[in-house]
Amino acid sequence: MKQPVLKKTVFGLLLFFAFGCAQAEKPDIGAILDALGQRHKAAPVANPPAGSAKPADNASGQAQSTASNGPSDRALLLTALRSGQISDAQEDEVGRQIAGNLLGAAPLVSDDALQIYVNQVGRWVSLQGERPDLAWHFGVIDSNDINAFSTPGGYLFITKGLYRELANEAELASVFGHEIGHVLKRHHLKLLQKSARIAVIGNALQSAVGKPAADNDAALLQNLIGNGAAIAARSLDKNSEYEADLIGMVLTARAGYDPYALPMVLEKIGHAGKVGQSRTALLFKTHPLPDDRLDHLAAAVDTRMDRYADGKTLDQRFVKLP
Amino acid sequence: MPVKLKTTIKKQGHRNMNPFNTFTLPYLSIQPSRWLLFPLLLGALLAGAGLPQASAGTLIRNEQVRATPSASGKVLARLAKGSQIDLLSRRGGWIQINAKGKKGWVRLLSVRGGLSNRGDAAAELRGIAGLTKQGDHTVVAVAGLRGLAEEDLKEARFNAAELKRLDSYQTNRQQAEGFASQGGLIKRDVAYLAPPRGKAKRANHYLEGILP
Repeated sequence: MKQPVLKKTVFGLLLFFAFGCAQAEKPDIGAILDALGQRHKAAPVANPPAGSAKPADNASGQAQSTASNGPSDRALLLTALRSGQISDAQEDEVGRQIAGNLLGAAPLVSDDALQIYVNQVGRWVSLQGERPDLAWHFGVIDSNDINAFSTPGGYLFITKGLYRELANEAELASVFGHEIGHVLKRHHLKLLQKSARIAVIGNALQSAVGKPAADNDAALLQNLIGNGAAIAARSLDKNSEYEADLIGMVLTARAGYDPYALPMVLEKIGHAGKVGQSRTALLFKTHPLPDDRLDHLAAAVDTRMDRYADGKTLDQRFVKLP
Repeated sequence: MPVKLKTTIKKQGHRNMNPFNTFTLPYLSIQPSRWLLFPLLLGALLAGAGLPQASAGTLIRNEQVRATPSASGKVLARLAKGSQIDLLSRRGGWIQINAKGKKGWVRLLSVRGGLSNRGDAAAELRGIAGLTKQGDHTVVAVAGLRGLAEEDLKEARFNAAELKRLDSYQTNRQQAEGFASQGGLIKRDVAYLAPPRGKAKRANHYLEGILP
């Protein structure tokens, strides 16, 4: 039993490396892969057709597992994550897994009217982007923290704590607009893909010591999306957040709302962070500070949103939390 | 065996923790004035009809004060970054200010402080009584409602029942469009905004400040 534990440790360290270096540039990864002697060829560019047996990793020919370990669509999913060519259906599968995990940390608020309402608002905003036909889901989760989350595939969550800070429907739309921006630009998906690519090294190492590749794949996928919803709490780079703010403001305006709702929300978040820091700890850890986001918005917006500022706020229709 | 792996990842979490001590203090010392500008009383109403009473704000950049809420409005004065102003009303992306007796309009995004639009008096009171807010949080936490720390998210177990509930609320395109038209929302063509030229200067995002 000693040796497998050692292997796991090595693999774990590699994965730690992978997560810690998510910002690393691709060329470095390529170099490392080369150094590993091309044991694992890069995954194919196109998705293998459904049902095709195995990803290309077994090109190594080493210790191929005969027993298929886990459903083969999972193997395809991993291949897709590595290749960067992932279908909407596969992206949804990733998102569902992470969303289910997130709901394990904080369940939905038990209020059907509220949940239906946020889905109506969010879905309307989602129709203003380039991916209107994703299986968009929206939910208010039972946490007093001030935060909002998105997963690949369009599973969006706002905490009860942030919802309570909102004054009207436009502000809710702007929060979802920001999160929809992440989904449109596939920010978290790209982060996962980087981790998957880097983790290929770990897999290669495991193969080198005789661990069946399929076991590795299952473990790898488990580590990428199976354990918790840590990916939802990962920091994106600062520019991704600024980009999502700009998209959020535009989608809010496209949907007919007052685009200045987003800066209003940012101002509130900044304020809340100064009143009770514990509620914004994770948010501020993973996002630029609200003042910086406002500065960035101001520079990009200038007067470009002026003519849409007559958009609606719909204070009356906004569903208030008791 | 997986336990080993988990421990390794956790270490990374700890490295990233303790966000506040690290950046709050320098932030405070750089811009003490901003802190004073977010007093709890500033939850004043600004959207729509305007402010019932003037609230205080500050200019975050040099600004031209215009006679009308428009970029083509006549320039009445120039105010320096950091100027203390009273905020009177809002029209679109413009805010009417009073700077030592002189009234005029500046761009909303050039003003910081007092912009928050609390929906109702109760919410405003909650904002004023900021301490009870914090108190609420503590009490709830004790009662078992969790905050969402990074560790909570990492440890979370898949909840199939809640995911099913989430599915049950899903809204389709037609329903969303119907909902929008009920609210009088009209779809508009709005071009995406280009990121501003030039790189952001300040790197006081917590992580950015620490990582190379």
